[in-house]
Amino acid sequence: MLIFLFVISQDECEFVEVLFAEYNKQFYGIAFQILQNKESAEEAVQETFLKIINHMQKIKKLPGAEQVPYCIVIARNTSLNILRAKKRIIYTDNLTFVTDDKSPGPEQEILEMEDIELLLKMVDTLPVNDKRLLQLRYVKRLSYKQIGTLFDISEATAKKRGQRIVEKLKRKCLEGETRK
Amino acid sequence: MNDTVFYQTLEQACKMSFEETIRLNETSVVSKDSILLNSTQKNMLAQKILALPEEYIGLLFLKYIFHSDDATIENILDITNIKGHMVFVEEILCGSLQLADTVSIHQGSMEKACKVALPRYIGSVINTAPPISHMYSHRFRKALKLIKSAQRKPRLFVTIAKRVAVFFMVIIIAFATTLAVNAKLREEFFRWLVNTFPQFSEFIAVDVVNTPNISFDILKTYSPGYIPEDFTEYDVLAIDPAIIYVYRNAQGQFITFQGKLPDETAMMFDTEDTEIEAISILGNSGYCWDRDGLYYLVWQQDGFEFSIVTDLGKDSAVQIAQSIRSGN
Repeated sequence: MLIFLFVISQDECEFVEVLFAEYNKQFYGIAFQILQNKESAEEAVQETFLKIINHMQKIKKLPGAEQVPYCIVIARNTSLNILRAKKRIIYTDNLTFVTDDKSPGPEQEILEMEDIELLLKMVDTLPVNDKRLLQLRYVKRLSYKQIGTLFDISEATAKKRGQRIVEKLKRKCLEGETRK
Repeated sequence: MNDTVFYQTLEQACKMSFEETIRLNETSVVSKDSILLNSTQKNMLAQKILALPEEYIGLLFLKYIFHSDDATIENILDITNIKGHMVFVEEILCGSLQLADTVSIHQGSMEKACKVALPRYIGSVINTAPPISHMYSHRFRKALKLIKSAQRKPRLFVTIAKRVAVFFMVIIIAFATTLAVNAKLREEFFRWLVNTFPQFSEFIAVDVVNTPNISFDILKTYSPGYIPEDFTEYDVLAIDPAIIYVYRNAQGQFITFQGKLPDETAMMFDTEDTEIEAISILGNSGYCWDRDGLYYLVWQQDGFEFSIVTDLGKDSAVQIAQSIRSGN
């Protein structure tokens, strides 16, 4: 961090100075809204400014009205990355579990590679839209409302479609277990 | 296998499947015909972009608005295989517009849709995350040692709030060009199209037809006739097409009154987890809602769009709204 600050020009240093003075509270607000924790929000602001310094030349070349939106995109995504690193979210169709650390719980430990591979095969043979729906829901954590917007269907239809796919996979999985 | 284990296994399988999709996309050399979107499709695309996962919204803005290279995007978003992710996003967007698998969206159309989506995105971020004063730790100050202002104690919120308001107005104006305002379409009476997104709602004037009585000069003559006694005018901002008045009292409570010329650019507000209620202000139609201790009121009057945001509650907001009039 300090190395960066030493090698940037006086002009660039002044630019970061102004940016910090005018927007650090906005960036902190953005980070706190996502992370809900003072230390993590502070870490996010620090990381945001690191990235801003790192991409200073690019930012300075942008038109004036685009510079702050660019930094806001950095602040949001940096905060979300910190959140992802700290929280593990497990989605089911009825409940969402959030745990505070990423260490494997007792249930995770018993996940069998064989089961994962079986489900992977099933997911990969789904029609492309069903596969995308699962990826958006279980990898990208989208709500059914967002999925509905992206698939041009209602939230209820998206949820029903998601449940139908999961039920189908669950049924096939149980059939596989019975055969074992 | 119980439910929790099943969902964890499914999540793992989906992750592996997704990683493989991205890996294949990265090396894919399929060339598709790119098609230009019409204005309606571009607006629809902007709406779809805002429903994408956050890192993909950032990915599209960085590529199509800020023209960042892959290495920069990777560093900012902390993701690798940018091309693979881009193919994935663009296929989802094509599908969401019911376009054939054999076509892709033209770069120019993507750029325009992103420019429509950006102010809405920034508006929702600002609305949901107000600036917060924070006393940074010694460690933080040490890390940002050469940034002098990082060493100072926080100053008053209001200075920043004003600058954010100015910045917000500037970006709205700068990016509104794709939703061109057609003065010929203005009317004395208009209605609003209310779009509700997961975290915010936008209010867009539609069926606006021309009237000679609407201009920015006239809008500037409007102000509240009533403001509670202990409040003083803190800031006034007038940048075509909008005016903003900010009032504060010694307890730190505030009233923000905004007036705007009706055009096709949206007024955006944080309405997450709230119910928007229709309201009449002296016979003029409007909407109101309550969120996180703030009361929001938007309404139309004399052909203009007005809004009040305050922490004083509904009664005061309505009383102030009923007092808005032209000084002429």
